[in-house]
Amino acid sequence: MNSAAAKARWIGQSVARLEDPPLVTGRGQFAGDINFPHQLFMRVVRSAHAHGRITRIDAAAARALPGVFAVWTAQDIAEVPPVDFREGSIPALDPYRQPVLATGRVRYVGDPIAAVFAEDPYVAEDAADLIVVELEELPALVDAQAAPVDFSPGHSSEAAVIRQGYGDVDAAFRTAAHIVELELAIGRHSGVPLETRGAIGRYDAARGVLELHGAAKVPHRNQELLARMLKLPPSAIHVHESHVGGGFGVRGELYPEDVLVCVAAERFHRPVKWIEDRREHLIAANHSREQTHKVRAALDANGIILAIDDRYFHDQGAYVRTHAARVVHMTAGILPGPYRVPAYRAIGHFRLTNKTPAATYRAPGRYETTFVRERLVDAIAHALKIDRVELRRRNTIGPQEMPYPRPLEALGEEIEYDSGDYAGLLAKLLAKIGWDALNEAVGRRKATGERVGVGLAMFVEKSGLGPTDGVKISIDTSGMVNVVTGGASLGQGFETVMAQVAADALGVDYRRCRVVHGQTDRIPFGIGAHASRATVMTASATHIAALNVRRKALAVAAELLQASPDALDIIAGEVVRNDGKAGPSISLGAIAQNLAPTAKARGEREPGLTAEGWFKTEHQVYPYGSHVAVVRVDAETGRVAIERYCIAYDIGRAINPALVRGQIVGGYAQGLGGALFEEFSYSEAGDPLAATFADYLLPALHEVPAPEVLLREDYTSPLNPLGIKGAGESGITAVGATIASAIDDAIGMPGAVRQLPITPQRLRRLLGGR
Amino acid sequence: MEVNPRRIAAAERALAGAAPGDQAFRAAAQAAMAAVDPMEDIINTAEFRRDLVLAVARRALERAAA
Repeated sequence: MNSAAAKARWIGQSVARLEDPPLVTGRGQFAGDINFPHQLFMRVVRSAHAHGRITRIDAAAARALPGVFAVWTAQDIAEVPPVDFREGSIPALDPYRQPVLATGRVRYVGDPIAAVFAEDPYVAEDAADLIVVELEELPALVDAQAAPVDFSPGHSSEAAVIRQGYGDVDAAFRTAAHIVELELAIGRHSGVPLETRGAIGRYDAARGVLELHGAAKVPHRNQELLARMLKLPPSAIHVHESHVGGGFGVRGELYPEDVLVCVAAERFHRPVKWIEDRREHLIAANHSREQTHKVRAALDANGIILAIDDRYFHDQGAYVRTHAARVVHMTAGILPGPYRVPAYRAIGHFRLTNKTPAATYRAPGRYETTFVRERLVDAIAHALKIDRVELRRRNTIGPQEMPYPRPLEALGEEIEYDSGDYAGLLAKLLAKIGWDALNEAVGRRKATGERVGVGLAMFVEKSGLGPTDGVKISIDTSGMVNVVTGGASLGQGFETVMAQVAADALGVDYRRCRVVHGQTDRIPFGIGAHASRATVMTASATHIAALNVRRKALAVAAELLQASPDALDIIAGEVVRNDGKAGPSISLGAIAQNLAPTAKARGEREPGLTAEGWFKTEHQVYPYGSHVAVVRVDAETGRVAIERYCIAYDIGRAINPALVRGQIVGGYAQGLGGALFEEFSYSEAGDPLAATFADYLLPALHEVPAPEVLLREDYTSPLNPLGIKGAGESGITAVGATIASAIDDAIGMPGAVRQLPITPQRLRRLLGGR
Repeated sequence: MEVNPRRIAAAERALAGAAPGDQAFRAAAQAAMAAVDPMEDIINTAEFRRDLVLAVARRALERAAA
């Protein structure tokens, strides 16, 4: 570690968020707040049927309504291709992409059929109601385990079969002392942010630039994607992110609505605004999670895992969206988690159904596989009569085995666990909660008839998706540090964290840093904020850029102060002698003045107190943790009360511990939703049955008792200069698994919980109710 | 439970004149359970809701008497 970072003053401090003042004073700018003169409002007409052939669309009455500017169906935008994958064409999956407007066929309730553009949003909505769509209904497929059908001529509804694995799995099962098998299901649910989606397209004729406002997360990727789809140079399109009321994976992908506002703005030469309503969000934004796993483990007599064999069905919904096969593929790569698994085979059936298309939701693939793997480990412990903690200890990869490569892939990278002591962290968690005493106390309560139980789960997270990130820092003549990143903010504290990192390397107050994100016109490259990557990747690049600027500043200061750069330090924005003695000093602002293009002192140097920094990595980082829950089951009502929840997590290095804890607690709340409440159910005909908050149950304050967080910085990552691992998904990953484990224990039925969410009615059924 | 809240006469009759206690509360809850016509939705069947009446009506009476 270099000297500047070693003297950290801001890194590791829970400083107040820089981004809060506008948000807490009502001056934030969310998609709904963005308005341009002469804008039109768009309303999307959506399919009311799960599957059908469009026989007639009559928009005459809608077009005649005063205030309606235009109505589009697929034929009006015939030159616009289906929504592309983020990484470009994948020939085997291209036929499953979603058209921007349905072309002859609708495939889920919510599928966009037509778009109305009007002078105000109410007229647009009224006009949309006047559009008559006639359909010839087709049978709906709502079960990903049912036999595949034709998606289109020559293309099966099983879009792909994913295979990952290594070792001789069949031999392991032939020689195993024990085999444990389970069938497990994770319910369809997703990110439901407070702010629904929004998109504003604007064509700036003066500059010849098409702008998309609203979609945060991967602005540069969306810029490239739009450029490909609309056949424009990337530099003729700019994407601008605004404030965000929750991202969680669903916001910021390029959806049909984003393409529509861009195409319409360009064609009409008028800004076009679209704000999603809540019902639309629940049927139009990406769903996630729905998988069924048939998993089995081969074990020796001591419970050592010899092999895991998993066959799973991934319910992709009606189309393959921007993520392509990411989630189904990653599922296979990360299922083994913290355990040694000498032989492994995962076969994933990537199947389309007539439901809202699925993609990523916070901890994609990990929430699902942690449920599967940890249920399996609990089942092994029960079958072999081995204590569940002891069984985990026996099978956990140890710190001496790091780095631990595994011939599996996640997000296109070979998996290699970078550092950690999984069992060591579990031991710390168990010590913190007093595991033995806790289990004794719970045992005494059970003896009096209470249905109370303890559950646990371990996990390895995955974060910091590369391959690279660049940051440009320039210090202006007042000494203000401008940090221009290709990162994105989904409300996670991005600006604060980057400012803390830049401030430490530059010797300035973090409040003297301004952080730019999500603006493609400010920096030509960026991968955005997803996969818990922002702090790992963008902060590493920020650190490198800041050190480069520091070096420049010290070189100029050395010349002006007639001292060696080694004898200088920067303290509170002022270059001073580093031996503590009084002497001449110069501010960063003054150095910037001396580097102005016209400044004599600049000499032959490049103008500006500015530098870029690039960080590149071959591997993601793998933070890890464990969850423990104590729950009480009300056998009469099926209600689950959480008495205690504790999350242990090793983040390597916490730039801002309060923000890390916030990430963990927020994730935990969403994890409880998937464990106990949230589910996008469908009727056999493919009608969405959870399209309002009366049926899609989000946990609120009452259902989310505060968790305890044991945040550790035991094992830094060797893969980046600050040793950072990501924070975004650790709180959610193991919640389904842990709650299931605790309920099993509470009702005295090991292995009973095989399906999420564990609704009161499902729990009553497990207990013999109806 | 049902579309609108309503008084359950059978449960009231089971309580009228009876000493507050487990026996009366159970009888009233049983009567309420028999009398309701629960809604049904994707999350909960009518049978499940009916069973809930037994538990929550009894608990409400216990709490009221406590």
